Amino acid sequence: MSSFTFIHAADLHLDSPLAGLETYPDAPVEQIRGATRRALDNLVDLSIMEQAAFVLLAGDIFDGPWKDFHTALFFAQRMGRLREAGIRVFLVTGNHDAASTIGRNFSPPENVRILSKNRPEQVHLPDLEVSICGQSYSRREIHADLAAEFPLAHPHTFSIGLLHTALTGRPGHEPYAPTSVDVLTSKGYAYWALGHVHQREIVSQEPWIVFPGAIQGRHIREQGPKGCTVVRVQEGRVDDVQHRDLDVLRWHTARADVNGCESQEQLWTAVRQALEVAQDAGEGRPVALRLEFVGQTRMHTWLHDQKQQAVEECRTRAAGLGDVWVEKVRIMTEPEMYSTRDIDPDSPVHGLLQTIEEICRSHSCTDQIPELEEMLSRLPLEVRSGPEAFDLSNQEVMEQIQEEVKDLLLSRLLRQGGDSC
Amino acid sequence: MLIKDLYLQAFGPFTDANLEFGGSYPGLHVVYGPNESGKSSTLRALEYWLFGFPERTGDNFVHPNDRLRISGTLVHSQGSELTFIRRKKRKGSVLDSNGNVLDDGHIQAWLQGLTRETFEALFGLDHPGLLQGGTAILEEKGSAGSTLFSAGTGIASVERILGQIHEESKNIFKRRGTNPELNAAFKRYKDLQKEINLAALSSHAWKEKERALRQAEEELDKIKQSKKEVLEAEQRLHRLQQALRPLARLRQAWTELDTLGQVPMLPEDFTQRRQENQELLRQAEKTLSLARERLEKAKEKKEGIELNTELLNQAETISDLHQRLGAYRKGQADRRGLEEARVQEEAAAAAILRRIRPDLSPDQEDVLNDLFAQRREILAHGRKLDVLVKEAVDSSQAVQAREDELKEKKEELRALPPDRDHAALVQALEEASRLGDVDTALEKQKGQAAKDLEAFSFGLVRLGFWQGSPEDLLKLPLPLETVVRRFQKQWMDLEGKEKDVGAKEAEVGKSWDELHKEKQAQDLAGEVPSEDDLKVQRSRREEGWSLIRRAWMQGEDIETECREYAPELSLDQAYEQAVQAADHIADRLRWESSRVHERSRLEAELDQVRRQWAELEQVKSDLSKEWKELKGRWRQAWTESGIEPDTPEVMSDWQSGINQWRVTARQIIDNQAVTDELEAKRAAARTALEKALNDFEVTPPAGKTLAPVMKTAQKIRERVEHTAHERKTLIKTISGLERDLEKARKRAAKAEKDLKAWQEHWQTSLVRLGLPAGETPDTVAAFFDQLDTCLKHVQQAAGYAQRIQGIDQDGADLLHEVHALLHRVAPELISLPLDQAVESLNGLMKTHQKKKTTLEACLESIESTEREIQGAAHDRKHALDQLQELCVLAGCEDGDYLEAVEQKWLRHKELQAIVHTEKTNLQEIAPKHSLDELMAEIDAQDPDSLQVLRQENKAQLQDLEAELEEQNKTVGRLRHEFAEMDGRDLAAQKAEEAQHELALIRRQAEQFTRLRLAGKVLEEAIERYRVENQDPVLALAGEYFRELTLGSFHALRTDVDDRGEQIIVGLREDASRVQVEGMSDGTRDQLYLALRLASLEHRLEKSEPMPFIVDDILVNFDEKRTEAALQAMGRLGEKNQVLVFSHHRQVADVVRELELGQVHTLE
Repeated sequence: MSSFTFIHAADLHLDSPLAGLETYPDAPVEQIRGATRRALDNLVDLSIMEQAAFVLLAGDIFDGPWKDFHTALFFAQRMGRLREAGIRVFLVTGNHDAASTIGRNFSPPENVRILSKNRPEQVHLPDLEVSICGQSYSRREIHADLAAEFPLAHPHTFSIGLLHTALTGRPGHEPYAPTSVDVLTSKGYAYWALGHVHQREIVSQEPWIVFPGAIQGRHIREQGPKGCTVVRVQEGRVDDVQHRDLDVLRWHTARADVNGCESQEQLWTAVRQALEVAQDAGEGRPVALRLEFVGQTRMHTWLHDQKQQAVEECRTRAAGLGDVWVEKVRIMTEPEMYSTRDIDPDSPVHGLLQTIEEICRSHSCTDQIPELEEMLSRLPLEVRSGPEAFDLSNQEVMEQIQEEVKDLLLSRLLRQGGDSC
Repeated sequence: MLIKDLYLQAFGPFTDANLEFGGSYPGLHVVYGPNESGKSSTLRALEYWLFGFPERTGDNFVHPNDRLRISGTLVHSQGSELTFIRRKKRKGSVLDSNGNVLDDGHIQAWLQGLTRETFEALFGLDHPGLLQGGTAILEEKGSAGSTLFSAGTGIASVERILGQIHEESKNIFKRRGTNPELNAAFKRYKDLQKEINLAALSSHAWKEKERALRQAEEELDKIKQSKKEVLEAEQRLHRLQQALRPLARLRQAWTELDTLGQVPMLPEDFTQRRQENQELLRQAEKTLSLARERLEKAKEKKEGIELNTELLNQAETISDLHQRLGAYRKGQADRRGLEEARVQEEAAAAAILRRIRPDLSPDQEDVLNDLFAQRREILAHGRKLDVLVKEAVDSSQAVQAREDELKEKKEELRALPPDRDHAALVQALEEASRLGDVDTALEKQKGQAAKDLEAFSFGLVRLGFWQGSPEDLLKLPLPLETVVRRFQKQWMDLEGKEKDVGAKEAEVGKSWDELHKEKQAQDLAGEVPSEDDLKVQRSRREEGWSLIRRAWMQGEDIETECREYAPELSLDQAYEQAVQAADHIADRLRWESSRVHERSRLEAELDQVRRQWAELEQVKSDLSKEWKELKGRWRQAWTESGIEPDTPEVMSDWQSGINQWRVTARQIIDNQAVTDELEAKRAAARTALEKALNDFEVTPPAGKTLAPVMKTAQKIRERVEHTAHERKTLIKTISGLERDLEKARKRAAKAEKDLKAWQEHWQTSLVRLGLPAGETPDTVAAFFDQLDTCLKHVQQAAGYAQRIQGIDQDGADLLHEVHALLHRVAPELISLPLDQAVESLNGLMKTHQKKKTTLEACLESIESTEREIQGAAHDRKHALDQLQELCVLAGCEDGDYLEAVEQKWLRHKELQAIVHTEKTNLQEIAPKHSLDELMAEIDAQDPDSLQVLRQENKAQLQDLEAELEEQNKTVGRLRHEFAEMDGRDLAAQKAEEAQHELALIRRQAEQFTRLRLAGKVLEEAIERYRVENQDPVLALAGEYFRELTLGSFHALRTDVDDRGEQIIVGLREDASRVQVEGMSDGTRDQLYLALRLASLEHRLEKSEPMPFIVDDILVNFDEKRTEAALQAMGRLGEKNQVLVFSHHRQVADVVRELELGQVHTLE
């Protein structure tokens, strides 16, 4: 039996842009340009450096809605580099590739083999005593258990299954090509190279069932290290499975604990600590940071009143630190002295609060505010849809906004007589 | 809630300052403090007490941060109390009265959970706040909603806040704007979408492009092939055309060669050799003829030359003599100048000698040198004079100086005062020093005593009931504490009884009220019939019936009775009425039996209550007696102390207070004793010092303190000790001076002696020099200088004489040598003078030298010409031999035919060269064809058609070139376009930028939504507040406003303005309406105050009262309005505590005079 190394990656989503980052002066725009492409470059470099025998790509090379064929040409160029290094590539397409016009029209270089979308296709590599079996997506939505149809493993051969699947289902991922660990195990394969789930996961070690995750996080819901999996095979057995980071930008959420802060100075100290934590999380890469202010503080009112100023300050400090890009600042603090429910019903402020709460509740919000209606109607679809959609008909979003409106009003109304800081 | 008291234990300038805001009802409290008295500090203290100290405070200038303490008591309207202490700490800043840490939330609950800022806004008002309120009313144009909202919440600028919110939202988005951030972002986003579409490459486009390129490249290849074929044809025609001319030349050469026939083969250098030898022959013959002629002429010239050999042999000597002649001439000229110089030098030396030593002449050079030899020794001796004279002067001056100084010091010693004994003074001073800084210590003790006494007095004043000195307090006869406690118990018993009676009284009163009310209710429901009423009606009916019977049955005249019975009705009518009335009452008694019954119960219960009332009155009267008796005894117990006692409970507290003060009194008295003892010691020390000072006739400074006396004594002591020291020093100085004087005198004597010895020696020297006595060293030095000059002149003259002698010797030598030579070579010249003879001899020698040169040239010419003739003969023979050889080669007998043969041979050679060249040319034109093939091809082609064919080809080629260029462009363009499809990320970059815009849009959209919603919510909140509060608050505010404006306005009303909005207007007595714009600034301030007071009062209906804290708002109010404002606040104070902080005496005075509330003065 032979010994070799192969690389398993998935969910490249090439040229799918990073979402949620607003540019501002000193934001590290250049450092993170073309992140998915550069992550692919890293994959190619790693494969060459590891002298991989072959590379497996488990679907979603391209991003569904993206139509620029340049992306396919870029992919072909990079596969060309692998060809020059004598590295073969085997890939199955995923739901995104099936939905993508690029994916449908792409014809690969000769070292790249796209496995059939009509049936499980098996490739034998006699030099390595390896057999790879996989099936591509024929359309975007596959609800059948593709794995069930895979043939049983050849004896005396290192068998690999290559598939784009959600297994029994993973949160945030469409349940395509569903299957189970039992079905996969029953095939007798040594390694199941899966794709579709953007979070790294070793589902099983006997046999190995691995999601390598995406190669590059593209929004705040794809946090943490992203990359591929390097598999070393010794004498026909899996000897070592290692995740390797390929991402050029890392997404991270950090909390600035401002509990008990009494001055801006103290706020910024907490922010600086949070930024440093975020920077560490980047392990030398630029970091896209969601910064959350938490804790009970006297500065609660100020933060709500002067949110823009606070955001600017966070951005400036992030820029000062280096490659930290502040994606969003969320003020989740609580006032130190009171929360609205602690206020005595006898107090006139209580009356005001009640009124505000009642009015907030009683409105379908856009009613009678034509400007707001107009603004909402002009919002691009991307803002109005998706997992973090700005959709006021969504109860959760509306409640959040109402809470903020309340804080905004209270901070402005009660500020008078001077700034509380 | 109200603030019962505030105790500034340690804060700002305060130590243990107390403010009691007690009283029968919440009340108006004026805290009056003139400037610098700590009014602002008190206000701050109140704030910090309730809400905690800030991180940094300036109120720690007396008490350090960790000692700051403020305490006080809050009282809830339900009666519960909370006493707490605030200290400056981050955590655990609140302590209860026992010093245990209290949860901050506990205080917060009392403050209704309000923050410092909110509390200040709602329940505080200062002057800027008032002005801001008044201004806001104007800004809001009296808008009912916002004005009421502002006054109710203390938020003065609600309209401004609303305005800001709207303004901010407009900066983000406008329906028809392009500049607001969101509008601009929408536009940028759309533009970016377009750019993405432009930059993106569709799969279809890529495939199309690939296909088009492939086709274009194929087409290009075809055109290139056609062009290649045409080019080949053209090359062939061109070749043929090129070959035509060389081939013609080749054929012509071949023909001529045939014509020439047989030609001898000559060597290549034949022509050259022939020409060279013919030329050599001609030259040799010409040279022979000329050389022979030249030889003849040279031989003739040689014969004509003759030479003087002896003269030529002496040429060198003659030349030498000729040169020396020049030197001889110069010597003769110099000799005259030298003679003159010698005479002058001698004259100069003689002149000098005449001046300095007329007895000597320049010839006596030895004598002069001897004199000069003494110069060094005599001058050295002369120079010593200056030193000797200076030493004599200096030493005599030194003697004089010592004598003067000695005299002066002796004078000083005589002037010193005599020494005094000061042992007594020293001892007194030392004893006084042992007491230390007794003045300060006493001062401090007395100060402390005064403070203690003041605190004591103040404490007693605060405690009340009795005042006096500490001694009096110790002696004060007070009732025993047990006695007081006994009284206290009796007192409480009586109070308990009184309370019971009170409760019973209230109960009975309540029963009475209820019964009475019930009765009134029954009365209102209509009269309740009674048995008595029935009886009355029935007797009236009977009376009527008896009259009828009397008139009807008995026919009696009953007119008078009838009129009496029923004056206005007839009898029958009256009777009927009476019957009906009686029946009616009977019926009602039956129908309303329950009401009747109720009525009787009421009456019975009322009787019962009346009885209870009477009993209670009795009990009260008894109680009153008991009280009188107890109070009498109570006062009796205190008679001896002269105190008018309060209740036993109060006095018990008082007694424990006074007991503490007794301890203080004891301490004060003890401290006084210590002070007195110290005072005595100080006086003793002072007396001792004064006595000692008297011995020195010094008056000590007046007063009791010790320090000034000590200072004077110290000065005297220092003075005495200083004089003694001075004397000692002077004596020592004088003895030293006397020793110095002696030394100086000795030195002067020696100097005198040295000077004399010198003068003797000097006289001797002058004699030696032959100079008169009395010459000074300077004049002697001048004598030597002159002598030196004279000697130099003498030496110069001797030098000149020597040189003249040398010149004369040289002239004689030269003349001798010239004459000797002339005898040998030219005796004819001896008669001539020396210089002429030498010149002539020289000329003769040069003439013979020239002749010799000419002869030598002739001889040389003859020799060379003979050599030339010999060479030319040899050349002629060689040329003839060579020409003969060439004739043999050319096959001719005579040299004259040589040239013709040569010409034929040359032509043959030329033709062969042409044949070779043209063959080579043809080979080059058609390298792939043999000569024969080419000749055949040309012969087959019509030479004239070649050009035509080539023209056609050229045209075809041009067409192909154009086609090729066009296609090349197409392929280039397609290749470029295809190369552009290189996997570039332009579209992806634009997509990233679009994402950045989306993020911006998202954030701004959220902010815009928040702002618009906030604006809407606030507007509604204001409107809701207005609807709920407008009527009651305006009614109350109207009253306050009338009061504050001294009746200038009657009430407040709402109205509708031009915009259709509800506004507040003032109503005059004559019902005219004044909008806020028509009011003065002051009136608007009053309007705001009226609305604040009204809102607070209105609040009380539903909510727990909170103290209203006012800081100097009346500064701009005139006297009457100040009074009115205080009255208004006094009125509010009946229900809600009002604390007015002011530094205006007038405010305090008004409140006192009109008895509006309590005044607390800060000291």
